[in-house]
Amino acid sequence: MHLKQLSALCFGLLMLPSAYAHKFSTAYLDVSEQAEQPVLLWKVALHDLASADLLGTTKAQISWQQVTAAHEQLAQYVDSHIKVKSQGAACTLQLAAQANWQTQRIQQQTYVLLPIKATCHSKAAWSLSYNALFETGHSHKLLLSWNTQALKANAVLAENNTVFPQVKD
Amino acid sequence: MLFISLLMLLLSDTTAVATQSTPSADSYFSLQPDLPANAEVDALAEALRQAPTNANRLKLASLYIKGSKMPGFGDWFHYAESLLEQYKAAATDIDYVLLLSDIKQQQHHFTEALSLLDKIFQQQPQHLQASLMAARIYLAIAETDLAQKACNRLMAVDIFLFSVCSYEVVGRKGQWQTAYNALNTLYSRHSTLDDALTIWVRGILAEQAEQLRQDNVALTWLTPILEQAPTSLWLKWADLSLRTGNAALLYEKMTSFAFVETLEDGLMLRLAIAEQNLQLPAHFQTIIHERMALRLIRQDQDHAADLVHYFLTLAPDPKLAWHWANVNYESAKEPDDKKLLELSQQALLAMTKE
Repeated sequence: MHLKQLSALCFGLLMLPSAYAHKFSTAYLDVSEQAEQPVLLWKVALHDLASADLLGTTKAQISWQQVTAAHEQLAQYVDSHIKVKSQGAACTLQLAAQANWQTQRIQQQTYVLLPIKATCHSKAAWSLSYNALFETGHSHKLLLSWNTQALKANAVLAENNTVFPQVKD
Repeated sequence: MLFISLLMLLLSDTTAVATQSTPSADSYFSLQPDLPANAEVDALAEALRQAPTNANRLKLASLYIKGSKMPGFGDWFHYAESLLEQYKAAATDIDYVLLLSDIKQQQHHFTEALSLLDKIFQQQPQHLQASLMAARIYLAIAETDLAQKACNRLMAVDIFLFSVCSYEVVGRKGQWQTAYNALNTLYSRHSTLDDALTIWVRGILAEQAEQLRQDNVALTWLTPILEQAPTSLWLKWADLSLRTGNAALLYEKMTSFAFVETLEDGLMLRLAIAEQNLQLPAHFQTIIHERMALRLIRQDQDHAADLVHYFLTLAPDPKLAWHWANVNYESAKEPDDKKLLELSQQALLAMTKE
């Protein structure tokens, strides 16, 4: 193999340093309290939802109608990847109807804001387990803002740290 | 104090109710930026949909990786990553291993990348691309003897590539003038190189001229290839331009990018510095403050060079610059990384003397 073949094959592959960061995937979760139950607001980039194959399209553009049409799939995803517990018992999570969804531009990206209502048997010792988008979002992390009567805190959840509050051994 | 103010800035951005809205059903949102080679990508993506074969995945992943190295198209790197995760084949398939290795080295996971390349060498000890990539990785971790050994694999295969590879190593060993003269002579004898090789050679010559303290000469190596150059060389050109008082040209060139607001952090940082130097209203400075705040909050350790630049220039803080320069040097040991270490040490010393 010689020069022409080589360069045709591999310009993208070699030789030059890549001293720059790729974009990281970040979602936000606000946890507050209403009527003695946890209320969640998950802010997640449309791009990340598409990468996780949750919006039913791989095209460069998506309509809001297509986003809202993915309600059932998103509700299932939330149910299987975000868990809230109260005193160790699982709470039920319900993704809000599409009419309550919003968008927001955060750091030059479009995010969709998904309200999630939790129903727990107890108002004590709430905890969160987050496992969304780690497989498909590049270095995905969740910036958690916890603002309930019992606890006010901020935390960063990542693939190796998925639970809040952390239980000390 | 600075960190707290950055945190407040970021949180106010994400909680600002005024920026939230409920779109109409026919509103459209962009999921990914376009590439100049979009038609090619679209055709391959369509081919993959029709026939989800490994061969099609590999072709598209390769195109995404190539595109991801251009300014503003970093997201394509993740599409390539995602495609390769779906690739179902023997882990010894050379093209697949090569792409995976490139992804690992771009993430600064050098040990994993080298381990993957070893699999290729077991099958083809003189594999061209693998040899060049191995040399590149060894240079990134300042293992110049091992880099030379990687170059040596090319000796019997392609003397031109072997020579360029070796001259880069000679420079990195500190013999900048010798390497520069030899590579300059070699380049002048090969006037018909195609774009990709021209960019590679000119990038090395620019670094060597810079190391010889000839910033304007370094710029002349880069300027003719800038439009086709990958992000790494744009960064070099931007640093040289700022040092030689060409902030206005930098600002003009970078703001002409179609996707200026999605530029990688490193380029956005240089653009923000140019904006500051030119005393223009803070727009790109605000963007980079938010991005750096997010990086700090996320506690990311990768590619910390951006944070060092940030704390040396836009938000001067010698202690944080020194901290991040050390974090950066743990994973990357190119001349630019060493220089960041020196600059932050100088800033720290200057601060303690005050």
